[in-house]
Amino acid sequence: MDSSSIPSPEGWDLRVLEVTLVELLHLELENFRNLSRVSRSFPSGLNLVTGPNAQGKSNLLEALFLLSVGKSLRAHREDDLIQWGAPFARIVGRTALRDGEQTVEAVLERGGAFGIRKTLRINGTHCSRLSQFVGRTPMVHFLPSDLDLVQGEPFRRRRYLDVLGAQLHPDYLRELQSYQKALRERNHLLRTDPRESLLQSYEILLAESGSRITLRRAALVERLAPLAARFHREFTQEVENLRIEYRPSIELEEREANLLVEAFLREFARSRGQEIVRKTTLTGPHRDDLAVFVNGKDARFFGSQGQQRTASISLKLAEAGLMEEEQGDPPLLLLDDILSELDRARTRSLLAHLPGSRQILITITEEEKIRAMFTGPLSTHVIRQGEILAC
Amino acid sequence: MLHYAQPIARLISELSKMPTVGPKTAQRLALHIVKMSQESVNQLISAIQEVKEKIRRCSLCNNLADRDPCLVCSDPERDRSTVCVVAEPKDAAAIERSRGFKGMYHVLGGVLSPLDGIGPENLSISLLLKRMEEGTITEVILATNPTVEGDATALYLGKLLQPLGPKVSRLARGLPTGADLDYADEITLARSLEGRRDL
Ligand SMILES: Nc1ncnc2c1ncn2[C@@H]1O[C@H](COP(=O)(O)OP(=O)(O)OP(=O)(O)O)[C@@H](O)[C@H]1O
Ligand SMILES: [Mg+2]
Ligand SMILES: [Zn+2]
Repeated sequence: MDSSSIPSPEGWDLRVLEVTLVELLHLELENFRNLSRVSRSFPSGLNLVTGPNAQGKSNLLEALFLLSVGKSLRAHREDDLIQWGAPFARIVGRTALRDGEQTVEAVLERGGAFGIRKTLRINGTHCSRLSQFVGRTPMVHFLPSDLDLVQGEPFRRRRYLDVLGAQLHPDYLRELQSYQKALRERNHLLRTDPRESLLQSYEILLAESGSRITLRRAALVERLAPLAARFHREFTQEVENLRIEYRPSIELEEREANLLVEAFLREFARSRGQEIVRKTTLTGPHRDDLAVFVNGKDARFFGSQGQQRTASISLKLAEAGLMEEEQGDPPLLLLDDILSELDRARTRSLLAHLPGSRQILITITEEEKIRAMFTGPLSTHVIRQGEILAC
Repeated sequence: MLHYAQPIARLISELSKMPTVGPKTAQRLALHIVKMSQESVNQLISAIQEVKEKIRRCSLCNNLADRDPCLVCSDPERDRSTVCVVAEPKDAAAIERSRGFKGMYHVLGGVLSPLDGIGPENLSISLLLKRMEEGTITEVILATNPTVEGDATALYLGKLLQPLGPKVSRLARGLPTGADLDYADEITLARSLEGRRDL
């Protein structure tokens, strides 16, 4: 990875990471949640992770996704990931690339100033920054809570864009991290020491960084939109039309970074007084949203629950579709419990559209439901009390 | 450190107060000191004492020095019209090592970091403004690290200094984002000093 390519206000480093996952070969876990010890190979195609409730199915997918973005989207605190009473958790994945293999490793240890220490390695080399790790093992994780992607609060849709953006471009993650740092600093000043000269220094940083994030998100949504529309039409047997629109915190008339920086600065100057009263920054990517329309109506407010959930699935499939378009290989799909929410017709239709992905892990309590509908190659991993049964 | 004799436990506890020294390293250092010759121990003690007795802040540039003004500030060969503003003494040392710079320094003694309670008052900014008033300085290079804190500090100083007339520039970003100046190799540093851009 080239760490010297600093995004300039004029442009973004649009190079896509070249090393992409082709397939997960083997996974080893130690003390990850209730999975004390797992060593398991995963063939291509559809992998069913089955077993009764509370056995460790979701935990297995969570561990895998941590190898992709270095974080869990499910845990409230990172030390929750370590098995109760154990000093550390370890996840090691071996993946096949187009030329050769790659080992990805994450170790979480209790202790240190933040209560937890995390070490990420690729092929044994320590990644001191998250942006050196993220995106090397592309995956899309579909959590049960993602069914509320369309209906839920805007932060969920921002996170959806961010997880995708970060996996595609390491610069995006670096930019988000500095943006969030500068935002925390400015909000702290608004609460404690709102001197204009100080606030302004952070406004310049936020405007520069914010305009790059805004343009990147706009580009992402532009690419996602046709994919989401196509998946959704197929998925609903041509009954529904899906349209998505980026809703940035600031008017996006100008697509040029410099002009956008100016626009952010004007907005800060205009609303600074109000921000001092409200003690928080009111403009910037942290206030963005993504609008989702089904048959022309804003689905967040007018969609039925079924429509909202189906649209959410289409968005996640579009995420996988865009990663495949950009990187040339389909990402590993981790689908946690999504089938339990769908009726037979939509389940059948979803299964029919999945095989674009070379490898899929699906958790399900009753595997018969899928076996009856799916004719392709299929392997089963039965989990009982934190162990994968040999079979 | 209940399992050590009291004097060793005390040394371990003192050493572990040092930055980057955890309990394990402190233990290893302490046990090493126990094994050292009396002479080496005396040298270590006197080195620590000498630093405490002799090192002070230069009254012109705020760098750490054993004389006042410091070596750089009292060197007649140096270019007094250009000042390179850095956060810490280690950053000035890194630039000196690169040998690409013949001007003067100003050491802020930190960077803005509101969340840690560090504001402009905690940095040596008024001393810098006093130096500007003398009128010999025509160019200021802001060489803080390219982190959020370093950038915010440079932007803040830039706004403060520009009305006073000097050319103000920022170290070119030849450095990897988030990198520390003292980690940058000397070639990168020399190059980024040449490639500085106007603010
Ligand atoms: N840090 C931890 N240490 C040990 N066990 C944990 C830890 N965190 C969670 N667990 C346990 O892991 C168990 C399995 O959780 P998981 O979410 O993987 O179940 P599941 O198989 O997906 O079940 P369901 O079908 O209900 O979704 C839970 O019962 C939980 O108590
Ligand atoms: Mg589950
Ligand atoms: Zn001096």
